[in-house]
Amino acid sequence: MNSTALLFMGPAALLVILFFFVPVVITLGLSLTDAATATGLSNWKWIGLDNYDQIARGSFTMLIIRNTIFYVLVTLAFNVVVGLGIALLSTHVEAKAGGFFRALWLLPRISPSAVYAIMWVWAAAAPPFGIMNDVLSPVGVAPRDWLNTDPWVIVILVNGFVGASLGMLVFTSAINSIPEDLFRAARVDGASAWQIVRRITLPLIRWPVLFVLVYQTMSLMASYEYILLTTNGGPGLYTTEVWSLWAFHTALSNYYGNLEFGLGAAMAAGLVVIGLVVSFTMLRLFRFDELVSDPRVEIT
Amino acid sequence: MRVVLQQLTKRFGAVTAVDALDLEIKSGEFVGLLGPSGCGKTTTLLMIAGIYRPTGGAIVFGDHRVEHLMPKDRGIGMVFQSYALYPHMTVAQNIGFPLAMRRGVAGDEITRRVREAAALVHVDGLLARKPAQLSGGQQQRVALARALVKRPDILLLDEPLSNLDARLRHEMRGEIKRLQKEVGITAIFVTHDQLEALTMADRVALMSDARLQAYATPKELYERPVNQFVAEFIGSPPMNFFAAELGRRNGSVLATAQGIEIELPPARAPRGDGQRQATVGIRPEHLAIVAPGAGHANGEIYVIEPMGREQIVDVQIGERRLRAIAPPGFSAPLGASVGLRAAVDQLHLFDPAGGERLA
Ligand SMILES: Nc1ncnc2c1ncn2[C@@H]1O[C@H](COP(=O)(O)OP(=O)(O)OP(=O)(O)O)[C@@H](O)[C@H]1O
Ligand SMILES: [Mg+2]
Repeated sequence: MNSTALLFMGPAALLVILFFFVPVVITLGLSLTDAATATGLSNWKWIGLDNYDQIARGSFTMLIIRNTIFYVLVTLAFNVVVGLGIALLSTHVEAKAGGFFRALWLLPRISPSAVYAIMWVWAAAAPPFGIMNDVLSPVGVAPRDWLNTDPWVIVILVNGFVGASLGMLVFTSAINSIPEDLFRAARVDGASAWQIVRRITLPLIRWPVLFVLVYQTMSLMASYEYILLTTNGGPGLYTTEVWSLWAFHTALSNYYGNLEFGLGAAMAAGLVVIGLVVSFTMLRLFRFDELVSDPRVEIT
Repeated sequence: MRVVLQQLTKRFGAVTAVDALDLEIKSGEFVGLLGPSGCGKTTTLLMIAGIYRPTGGAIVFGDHRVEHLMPKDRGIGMVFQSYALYPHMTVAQNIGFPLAMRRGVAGDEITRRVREAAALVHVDGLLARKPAQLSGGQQQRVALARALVKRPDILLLDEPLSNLDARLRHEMRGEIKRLQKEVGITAIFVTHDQLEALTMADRVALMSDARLQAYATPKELYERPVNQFVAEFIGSPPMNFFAAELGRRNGSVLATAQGIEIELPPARAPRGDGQRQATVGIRPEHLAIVAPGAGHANGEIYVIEPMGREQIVDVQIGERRLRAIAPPGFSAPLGASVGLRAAVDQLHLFDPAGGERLA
């Protein structure tokens, strides 16, 4: 590599090092200490892998892993299926109606997270309040205090709608970039609407779908803000607590006042490792290298 | 199968893309839809295919109206300008797609017919490749095979040759024409290249500005264009035009313009006495370069463009320039004085007002 290349890559590399690499190293370092509110900044000491050991033996660890898997899988399914569904409908119906639907679905993403989450808390309020009760009781769903009786429904819907809007955006532009003639040819060739989706559209947007799957998996595993703002892991002890929220609670906000930075850092580090493993597995599963064809222009 | 278009119209909002088109295509005929860019050719084809719904008018296949039928129920095969091959499928899967979409076509029958169609257009060696691994000409053949594999009654081709280089275009021109006659299919192809239309089609429908200007055999279009637009569009290099006064001398009609005087033969003179003005058209190949004073006009050589088989010579006559064709051996310095002689029975007279043919 010559110096010009370094010059051009410099700024980006610096940013990556400063805001990604350094925090990862600090987190890993912190995870090997017993740093906490109790120890302060002066009394902490290196404790090796004790934090990891503690997590592995923790009595809630299994519950939280199960919660996390459930949360990620169900929300992911909701995200991708709904996002894809809306994208397909809005690109295959008239363009104007499509635009309206897309705008509607983008609302959760453009409203501030806190406002959006609080709107859900209000919508899910206990009877006699709550839009959800108003809307669902005529179709036979008994009014209830959703956050207490069905916390997972709310958690998944809150995250699901935001994620679906991202998927929808990506899928819509991917579908729109498929040449119109391909759809016309398929219609002349006798394909039904479903066959066109199944045999033409989906195979041609495989790569964006994969991207959204991996990206959403990662961000769902790492994100906790909507759960924090709605159920905060409750009701009761750890009912909807997921791994990242657990790390947050341990390191930065808990009932007992003793914030265990070291333990929380170990939890976060574990999450990074799992995230990497999951995304590489997915890339393998979808045979990423087959999707990326050789460049048409050969560079020597 | 016979195809009839009656008063076929398509509007997109305020734009009229096709305006009251009447066209009858006989069974087994090969018809070219020719016209400048944006005149409505693709729109017409897409209405016949059933992709666009007509704003008005009728489309008849055989004896049945088909406007309400879906594309798949019209018995058509279509080749798109972009070829529209499915990029994620192999050549074999592409060609077999129309059969796979049909209920009740067995797997081995699909294989057999894919082979057959591929052999017809000489791509049977490429069945395992993806479209991205094919040349433009090969893609074009695969698209043809896909259009023919379900044995349609009507074949539609949208600018089938425009993405090919000049040599391949020439080759495929002949190939498609042969294929169409061999299969005996009714076919309509769109092109903006007059040479393509004239060489391939049995009849050419010439469109401009959403309207049909002429519908005739290539020979008729060339020899007896019905109006000035047709005369101008057909032929390369294009026909020369000049405004002339019509007068009479010794019982025959005389067309005169600055530096030009031509006595019209009776067959080429407008009937009656009423016409005082005309736009005279003469093709470059019907103008010969002669010694000064020996022709119908005199001028100076403006430029000579050698074309190999012939040379295109522009001759300046007063303020006007006429284009003539000279044999390869012709040579003269720029600015040399020459005469031009018109083959008078190849003159065309048009009404300066409406552009209609006078004689
Ligand atoms: N979907 C559409 N919406 C609005 N206007 C359209 C649409 N399709 C075509 N037009 C207009 O209709 C007219 C005819 O278009 P068409 O595509 O049929 O032209 P064409 O003869 O095929 O031209 P080309 O040789 O450039 O392909 C053009 O003015 C075009 O702008
Ligand atoms: Mg076109």
